[in-house]
Amino acid sequence: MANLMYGFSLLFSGNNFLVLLIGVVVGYFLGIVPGISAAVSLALLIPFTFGMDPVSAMILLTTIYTAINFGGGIPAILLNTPGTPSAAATVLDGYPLAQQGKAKKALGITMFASGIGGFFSVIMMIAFSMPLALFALRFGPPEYFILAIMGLSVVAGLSADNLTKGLILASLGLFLTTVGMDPIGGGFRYVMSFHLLEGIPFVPALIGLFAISEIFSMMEEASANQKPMEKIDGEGITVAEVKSCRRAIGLGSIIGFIVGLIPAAGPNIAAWMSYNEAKRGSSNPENFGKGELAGVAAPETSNNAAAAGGLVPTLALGIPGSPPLAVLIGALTLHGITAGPLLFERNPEVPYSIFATMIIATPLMMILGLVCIKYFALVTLIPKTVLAPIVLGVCTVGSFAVSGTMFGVWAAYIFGVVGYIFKRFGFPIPPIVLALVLGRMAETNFRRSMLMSGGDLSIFVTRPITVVIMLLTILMFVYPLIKSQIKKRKAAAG
Amino acid sequence: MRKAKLMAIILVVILILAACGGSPAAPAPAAPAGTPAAPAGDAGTAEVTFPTGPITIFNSSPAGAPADVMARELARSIEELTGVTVTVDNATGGGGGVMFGSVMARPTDGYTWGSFTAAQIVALQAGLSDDFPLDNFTWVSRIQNDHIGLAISTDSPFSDIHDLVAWAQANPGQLLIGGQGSGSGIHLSSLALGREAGFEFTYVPFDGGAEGLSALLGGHVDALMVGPTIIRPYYEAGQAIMITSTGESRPFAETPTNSELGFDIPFTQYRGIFVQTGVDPAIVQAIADLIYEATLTESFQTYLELVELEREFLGPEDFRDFVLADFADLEATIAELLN
Repeated sequence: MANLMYGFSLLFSGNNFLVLLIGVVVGYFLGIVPGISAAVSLALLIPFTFGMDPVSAMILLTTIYTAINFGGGIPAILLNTPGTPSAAATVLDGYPLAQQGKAKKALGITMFASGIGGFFSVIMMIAFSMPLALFALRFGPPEYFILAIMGLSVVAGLSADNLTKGLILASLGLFLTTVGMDPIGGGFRYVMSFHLLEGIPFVPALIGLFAISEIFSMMEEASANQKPMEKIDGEGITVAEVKSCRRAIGLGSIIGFIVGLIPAAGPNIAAWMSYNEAKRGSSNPENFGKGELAGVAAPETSNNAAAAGGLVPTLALGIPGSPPLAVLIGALTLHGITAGPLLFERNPEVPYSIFATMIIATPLMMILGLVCIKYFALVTLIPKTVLAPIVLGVCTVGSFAVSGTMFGVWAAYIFGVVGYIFKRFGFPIPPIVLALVLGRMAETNFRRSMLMSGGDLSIFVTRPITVVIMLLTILMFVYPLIKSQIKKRKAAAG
Repeated sequence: MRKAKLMAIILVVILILAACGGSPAAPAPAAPAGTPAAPAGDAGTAEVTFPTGPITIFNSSPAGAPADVMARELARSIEELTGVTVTVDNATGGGGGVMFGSVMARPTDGYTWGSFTAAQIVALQAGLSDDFPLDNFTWVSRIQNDHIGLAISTDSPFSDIHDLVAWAQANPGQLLIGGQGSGSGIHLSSLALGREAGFEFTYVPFDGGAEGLSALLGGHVDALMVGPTIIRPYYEAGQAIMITSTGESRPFAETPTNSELGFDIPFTQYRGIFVQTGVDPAIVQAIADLIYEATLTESFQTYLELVELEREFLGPEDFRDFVLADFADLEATIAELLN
């Protein structure tokens, strides 16, 4: 507690609080721009921190890291374009809500859910950093593989209307993740250009599948002379509506925090898992994908909770859970501080100022977001004929920014055309995105596990964590069946 | 009507694609060899004035990675020395191909450098040299030589390399050694260690340093092939120790070097600077001289102390011979070890 007070005193000394405010605004902006993911943003900003002392630098970078997940949901709702990969699942219900004129409600629940999820994780992190970090270490290749399988089982929920089409696209996605240098054998797979050595670039694929394919649909609507929306529903989010999402927010916080803790799982996976759980447990699952508030609340709570959760192994052990956190550790190195198990002992100013920053910044971002909703929502009033080319421009710049080459832009355009064709023929986009997120994790960890066990599959059933995750996955599948059976019995009895 | 709309959309797509054609950023791997550089000074004479304008260093590693930190420290020292701006640009991806492409797309005036590490020679050996033949590049100078060795967790049943080897010999193929990448210098170092010490093991490749480290600390692998800089914080916290290392001096008091143990393991993690072929040799020499001076500045020395690395400078000719020898060694070792 004394340490935390020390963190607060650092946060309020010198220009540090100003740095935090700048971080909030810049982070929001970077989160909104598609293609500029958290890792890219932090890498871009590191040079600006050279002149700062390490504490100010960490305050700036942590605030931006947190704000990006707040901002990422905004274009997901307004433009069908996730601002960060972790906001991909937010698109599913956020965009339909915006199209129904309920952009303000969707944005409101996003801000609220993000704030709750982030704050929950921060408190958990401060209270239990070390034991949780040691728990995270127990995840080895077999656990990662089973976790990826659990994630992939979400496909069934994401393509309920047409399971066959969903499975076809999930398989295509899994196939696409095999492109590039074989992570275990070292050989090249379908590498037609050296750009493909590290695989199909994920962020451009995401931009193409969601945003650019939607731009084509926008053009279609515009040419069909559809009237632009004349006004947005004046109503913001109500207390009753937030209450109706409490289950989604609660589950999202817990799933997000746990998945965030585990290095190499992170916010992208957490968001999909929470979305699925919110849908599975909902009293009206058929409304998911058509504009359900809980479908926005769940992934947004979860990605923010996971982002904060990822800081646990990063600060306690020096093991970054995701690419942006690896950049954060890199920034520490550049400031002459070594991240590792002795960070709390040797440089307590770093973790405690980060904790203080997150305690202050998370509610601040929530309030700022809620205040600005009415301005964000104005985007929905822009006629599609004007909006489509602007979004295309932003997407192009965003995909270029990923690696600074035209390759990313081409990839985004190709995925855009393919995504549009999928949509025309009724193939759901989410399964392919989910497969792109998880395919490589599943493959490499399955093969690592096989190396570890000498080809013995029993490695997956002799480790406690794998067994627990497997049972949970089975339960998730069986539960809806049991529920419908009970309903039937009740109906029969009644 | 519907068809017309679809046609219109397709047309728009084609227009967009056409508009983006002929992008200048698409790298052309063809070597523009022989084009004489036109620097501000008189290129024909022995004396060149370099640098007179801003320099860009392309770097294939992400911000904060060891090679990136080195490039940024080098840039800072050169700025102190000369007053010209030196920008470090992270051109990540494609196993270093994006960086090679970015360097090749710039003029051959000596103001665009690339940072070169042992990882790139492995990628070139693995097939990247089809796109970027080695003679596209002129190696200017080696700056550092990082060490590499086997680390174990302090919870491990082994206490030194002899324990580990004895167990591995009794249980052939059961020992799990983790490391970054497959076919990488780290992988080959592990294979070389097995050959030198006479034991069989299973190599488990991980994507990044952090993944391997968490597998070591979590007990999912028995040992990790890694650099002492990465292990130091865990060594100081009493969580991990190194039981072998390259180099002439011990990185930690308990860690014997390979030469003490009688192992011949040729791989190290070197880092240096290259430019594209076609840069005036006089400018190449001027760049090498500049780097030499920059590595002697106080700020660069402080950085080397911090990361516990020694400056192991090589000039253009020595570095070229070093890299080419490494490339050839790698080819021979891959053939020998992987089969």
